[in-house]
Amino acid sequence: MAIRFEGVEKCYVVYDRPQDRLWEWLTRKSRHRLHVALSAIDFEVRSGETFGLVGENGAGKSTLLKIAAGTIRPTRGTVHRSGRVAALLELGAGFHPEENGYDNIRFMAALHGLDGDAMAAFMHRTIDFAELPSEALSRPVKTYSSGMFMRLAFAAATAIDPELLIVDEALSVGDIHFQKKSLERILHLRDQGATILFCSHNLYQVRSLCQRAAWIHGGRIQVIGQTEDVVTAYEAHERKRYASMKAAEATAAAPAAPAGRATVGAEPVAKGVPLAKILGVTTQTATGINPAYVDSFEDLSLTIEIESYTDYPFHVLFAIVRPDKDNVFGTSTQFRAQGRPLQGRGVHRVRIKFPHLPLLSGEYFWSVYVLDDTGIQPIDMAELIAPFTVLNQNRREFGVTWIEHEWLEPVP
Amino acid sequence: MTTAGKTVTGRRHWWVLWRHWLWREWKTRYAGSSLGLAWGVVQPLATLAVFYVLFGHILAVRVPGVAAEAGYLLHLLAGLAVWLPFADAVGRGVGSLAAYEDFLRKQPMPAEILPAVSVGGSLLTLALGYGLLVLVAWAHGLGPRAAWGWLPLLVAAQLVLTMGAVFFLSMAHFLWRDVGSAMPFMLQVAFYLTPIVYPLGQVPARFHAWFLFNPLACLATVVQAIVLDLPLAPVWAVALVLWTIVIGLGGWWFFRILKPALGEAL
Repeated sequence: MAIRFEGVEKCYVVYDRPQDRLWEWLTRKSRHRLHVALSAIDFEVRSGETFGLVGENGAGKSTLLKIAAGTIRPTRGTVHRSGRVAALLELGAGFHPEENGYDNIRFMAALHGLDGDAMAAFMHRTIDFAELPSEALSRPVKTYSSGMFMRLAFAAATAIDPELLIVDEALSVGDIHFQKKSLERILHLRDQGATILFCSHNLYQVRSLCQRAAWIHGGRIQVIGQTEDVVTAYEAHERKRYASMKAAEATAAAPAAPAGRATVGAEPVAKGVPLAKILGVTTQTATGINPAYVDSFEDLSLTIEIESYTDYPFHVLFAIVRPDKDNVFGTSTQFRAQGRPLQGRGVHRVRIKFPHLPLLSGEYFWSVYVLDDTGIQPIDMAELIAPFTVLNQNRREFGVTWIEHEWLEPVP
Repeated sequence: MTTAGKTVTGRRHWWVLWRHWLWREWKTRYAGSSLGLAWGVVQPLATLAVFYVLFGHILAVRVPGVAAEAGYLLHLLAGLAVWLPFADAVGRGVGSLAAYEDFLRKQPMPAEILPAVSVGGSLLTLALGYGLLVLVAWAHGLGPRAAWGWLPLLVAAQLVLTMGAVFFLSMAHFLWRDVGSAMPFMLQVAFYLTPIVYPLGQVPARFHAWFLFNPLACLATVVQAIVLDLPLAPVWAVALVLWTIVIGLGGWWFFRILKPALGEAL
């Protein structure tokens, strides 16, 4: 057992004014409302396990992580945990802007109660990971770029070699190099046997990293179990929510996605410099380039152009998507037999042919992702682009896709 | 809630963190100023000089029953040795929890460290005050005497009083932000209600009993009597002991009982 929640419940006592708490305490007369942030939280993260938490904003994930870290106490129930805990709830929270890098690392060590040799070892590990020159480390951290600051903060936060690591969306900061490094650090800790409790909006990351997961909804565990089951259930819920939102604004015009060569990659996921960028997506059938209408069972080929700015290897993942964000089919260069990533500066072209495209009537989009060589970290994405309509003009079967079948009885 | 392991428990952890936090406080308090840490010495000395010139020379206040020519200086010094560290610790400590409200929710750590660091920050002034007091008294032939043996105990009492007050006020301010706004005024009133710039001997005797309700007046009076070799009614010492227990334990109890509120604000 690395961490176990037993009947954990968290109620926030909400006072309209802060002084009401004092008055209540003095007069013993209730002046508060109760807000239940979490209830009936009962699960265990086993030692060495990587456990993901998914859920909407405000579902209670962060509260649960804070309870796990021990910064807030559950109203009811108990939390048992063992070993050194590192909580990455906010990077750099303990840093003082006026102090230099070395002093801030020392302070982080002191926060864990480390002193003497243990502190020296802590500093050594931090500096090793942060990759900052001593010139930078002897400057006040207020002079750092945000990337440097994050690197140092992440390094110091994980330098106690935690046995239990609690991570709240910390991976989505810094430049891509740093994201990759911090992810590797987390993977390294995992491989060394650390237990990781991890919350993220990046479902792809949750899928790739976690053995088990829980979907927190309205302060309760909605689904818990194998990651795939949990994330799939959560996605289904999100789709329903999305669909009802769409229905609510049914009168509004659908977003006019330009046909033809799509304008993509305007918004790279990572805040930082993308190493590779999706230039565009082109489809081709017998009738032409980027056709707005495609016939079912027509041959279709897809070309994705990516420009890479570094020698960093990457994978390309794409999917055919329905307007409600349901993936009809997706694959990646990583899923091929050899699974070799693409590599090298310059423009890369990925071409795929779909003989007898088995889509039936409906509207479809493409979604394209560039991922790092682990296939986990997104570098660039272009979702729901290059819409096309499939018309099933020659056959009467219906649905999303053609499924191979054979009539056994009655014999035709 | 059980917190197994070496996370936020352990006296050693508190001690290490307190020391580092205090060191950071000292280093960053005067960051960017050319005098740096010297301000910690200059400020109390300047305060002493102003009061001494104004009250000792211009207004020529004298301490009844003291023959030594430095009588008023020693009286003032004893009063300031009590007052300045207390006011310093309270002035900075009152906002200590509120300032780290967000941090406390993000980083597992013992919240007690925050007020304790504020009290620690006043230790230099405390050492300076009592050190100077003893030196000046010695130089003027008032000691050393056996009664001075009480001084370490009085310093301990002062620390307990200060600690209790800061624990109480920092938590009260966290829950009720008006406390911080009222603080400068409250400190000013307390300053004038404590015999620091004036000797208690010059206050009409019928008011003396009221001073027993001021813990700092009790402490200052006892310290002044011991250093200046003045007669002291036992009631002052009794009141001081009672105040030390009440404020020390009361402040700690108030803090601990309301501590769960720290992570609670939404």
